[in-house]
Amino acid sequence: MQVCFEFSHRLRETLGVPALTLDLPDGADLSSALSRLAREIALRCRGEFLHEGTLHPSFLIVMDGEVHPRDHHSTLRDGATVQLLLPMAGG
Amino acid sequence: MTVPRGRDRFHRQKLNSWIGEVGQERLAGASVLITRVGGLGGPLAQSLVLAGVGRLVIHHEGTLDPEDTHRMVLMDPGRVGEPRAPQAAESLRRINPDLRLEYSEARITPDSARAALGTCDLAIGAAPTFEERLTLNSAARATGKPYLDAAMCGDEGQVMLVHPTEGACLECLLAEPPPWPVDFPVVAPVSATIGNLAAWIALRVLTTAADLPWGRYIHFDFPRLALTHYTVPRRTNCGTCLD
Repeated sequence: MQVCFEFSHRLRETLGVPALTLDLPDGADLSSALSRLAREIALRCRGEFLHEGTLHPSFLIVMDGEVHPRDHHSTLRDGATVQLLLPMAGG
Repeated sequence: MTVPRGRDRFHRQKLNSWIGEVGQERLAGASVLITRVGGLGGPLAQSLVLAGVGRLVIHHEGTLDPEDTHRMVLMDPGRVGEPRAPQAAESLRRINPDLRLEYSEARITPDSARAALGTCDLAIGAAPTFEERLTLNSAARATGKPYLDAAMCGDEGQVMLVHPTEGACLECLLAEPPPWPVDFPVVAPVSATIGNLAAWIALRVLTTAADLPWGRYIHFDFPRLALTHYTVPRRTNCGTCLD
């Protein structure tokens, strides 16, 4: 199945793409999908968005209009969109 | 400018049902603490003063750099090298000579934040560091005052309104603040828009309007013209919420 990950500004600018669509095994959950995404990000940019090999803990993970904890084990559906929002401090 | 007889400068503003005479009086009696009045906090403070907020306490350290002047509406490009806080104070007093305004050229600290909030109704964070924002967030919770966080980067912005006692706070959102670049990209229309979105929410808080977005993370993605908002879950091990 395919899941689309949409990125907010800094990650979008660094990766050079607004989103990545990953092929995942049927029945994959959010937690495993984010681990796979972290590996993809590590291949494309330096580690400022990662923390000990996983996504930086300050990313807000939004799916179906709700914030989800990153260790969420609910099953993803084919065609799902997951947003990654990174809090900002620009004033 | 001639104001028709029987009307004051806030006549058109008071036509908003959530303001009216009572709300306008509340604004006149309100005090707001703001950290940093630059590209985002400047337009924010400007709108609060235009709306008739009676008292501001401003913390803004540093001197004006040439590269600040493309976005900092309260600063004078002819005064590069001079401290920013007095320039902001002069601009705000020009908007409303009756404004009661105190300013500091020092960075906010836990002690100075708590002291200032003793006489303020609302804290607003518009500083370019997570550290200052989290300092205000904690001080607001400790003193039972609401905290409004407004920030931007490039073509995106965010606002979060933190309840004095309930729901998630900024530290719930920032389990570990991400690395933050000193040279983050800024274009003035984005910083001013986010500042004014925060100013509108601040006016709603100060007038005790209904349906305030407590604990919501409001995200504005300009290229997509998308304004979305989400409830931030309270984090069980949040240091501020546990205090």
